[in-house]
Amino acid sequence: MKKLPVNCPSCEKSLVVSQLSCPSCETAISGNYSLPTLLQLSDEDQDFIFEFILSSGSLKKMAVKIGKSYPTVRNKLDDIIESINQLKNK
Amino acid sequence: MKILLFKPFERYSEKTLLFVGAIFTLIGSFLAYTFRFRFDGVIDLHIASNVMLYQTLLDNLINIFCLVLFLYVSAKYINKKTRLIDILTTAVVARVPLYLLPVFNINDVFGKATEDIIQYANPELINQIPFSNLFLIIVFAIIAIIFLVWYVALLFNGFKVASNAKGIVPIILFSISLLFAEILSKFLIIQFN
Repeated sequence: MKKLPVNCPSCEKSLVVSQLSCPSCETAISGNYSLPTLLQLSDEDQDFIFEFILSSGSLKKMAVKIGKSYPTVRNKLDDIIESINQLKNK
Repeated sequence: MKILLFKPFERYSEKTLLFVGAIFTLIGSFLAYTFRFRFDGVIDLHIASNVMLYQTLLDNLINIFCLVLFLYVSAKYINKKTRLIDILTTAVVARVPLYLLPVFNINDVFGKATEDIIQYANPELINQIPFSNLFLIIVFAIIAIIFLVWYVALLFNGFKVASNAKGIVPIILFSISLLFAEILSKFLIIQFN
């Protein structure tokens, strides 16, 4: 799967969506749409959130599932919360 | 292997860590009693002449208590979400390398070498210290330093995971906690023995 770039490779600023297209009828929509906050997180963080939802939001369950200790999983969640807050304040 | 030796706190559950730590605390106390050692401080290990099993066990319990007390206060200051159980597992598991050290004193080889060297504690006799005794003491000192570094590395890694510590402040708080724990443990061990 191709990785979605979220930052400009030239100036490092956040990228925005300027075109969406339908793969079926090839209709294209142009505009200027911000990327959702969750999509601006790293792949690793997005995978973590995905696993967290699949574990019904239970860090204990998730820790067992991914073979990590509870504080390690909790720390990761705290780091993601901090990243989201930083992205929201940008 | 690296995770098992240095970062077990990242992977294993608190129940597993507490169980392993408790078993090793008992084994370590028994080894210290068998090989005539005292854990008379959180970062201390000394050869002793008369050692009772209850003393080595009490030494370890006091050391664990002092470590937990100061590390928990520091960890709570860094991160309010820190759990007591994570600091407790850090203290009991990190001490495992220290518990293994007495095994090297088979047949009281280091105790005898130390006693022999003490006889030469005189400026006129200092050149006559037998090389074999000196060599044994140096070898044990090197092994002890390696195991001590392993112990502190485990302790810091556990502290870091328990409190999600980042940056320089936690390193300073950890060092101060260890120092205070050493002072209090020394005081308590003298009081209770």
